[in-house]
Amino acid sequence: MAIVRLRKEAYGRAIHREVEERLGRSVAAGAVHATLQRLERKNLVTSELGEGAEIRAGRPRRFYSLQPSARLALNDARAHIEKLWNGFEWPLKGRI
Amino acid sequence: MNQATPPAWAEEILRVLLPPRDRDSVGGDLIEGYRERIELSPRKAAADLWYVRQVAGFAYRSVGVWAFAFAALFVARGVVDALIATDDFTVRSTISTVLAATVWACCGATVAWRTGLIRSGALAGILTATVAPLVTVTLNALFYGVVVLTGSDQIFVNIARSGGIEEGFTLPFFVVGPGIVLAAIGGVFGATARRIQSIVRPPRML
Repeated sequence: MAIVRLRKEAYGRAIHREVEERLGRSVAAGAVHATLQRLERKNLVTSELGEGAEIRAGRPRRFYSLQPSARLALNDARAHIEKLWNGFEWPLKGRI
Repeated sequence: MNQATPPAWAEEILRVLLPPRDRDSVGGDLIEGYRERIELSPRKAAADLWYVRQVAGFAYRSVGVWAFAFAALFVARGVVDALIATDDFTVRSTISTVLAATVWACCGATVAWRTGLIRSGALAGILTATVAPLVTVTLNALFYGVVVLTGSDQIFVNIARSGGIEEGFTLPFFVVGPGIVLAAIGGVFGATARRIQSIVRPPRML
């Protein structure tokens, strides 16, 4: 989802920042990196190296982009969540 | 733009743990995060701590499974000794020693295979050595706690014959030295295998 939101700016640190902001808590950079690697192994995302920047001590950024299979997977995930919530009013109130 | 740099030793650990493909980009991501933190709050110590925590996360992902494998093996041996009486510990000792040596060597070999650096194996061994004994001692404490609460006299006799409860709390710390050496040897094999593979089938760098 972070890659979808960031579009052309989806590189490691930006994705990490986006995930932390969305979740409202700190997340280990290693966890984000491991997830991106897993997605890449599954051919859901691809990556390529970009330019460095001064704030990164000149080190290159690795930009990630979604493969069509990832869009299908995201749509599937959303559809399944909506199916699970079907029939409930949000937010849940009272005793369950 | 600030030019602050994180602790050099932490940067070096990160560099040695990452595969060549990610060495610069992930290192850059962490430096960017580190400098963002210094921009927000000029307390360098807080940014240093953040950086070290991130590196610890990468280290845990690299060697955590081996530390837990070693601990599980060690505790399993203790459980077998406690529950199944024997007068001859030779077979058990041989099996557990060979398995433990394999765990340490595989730890070094897999990390060095991923990074292509011989010294990654030794570093993996050192990192595992800092975590594995603590995990082992904690699990042993849980096991012996259960034994004290529910165990029979025979179990106490078995434990005493196999070296006593104190062995479960001291031995894990004594085996880390040889463990680091084995991990370093595994690292030589892992890195060499990676180099041979990269000659036979050169990697595609993106």
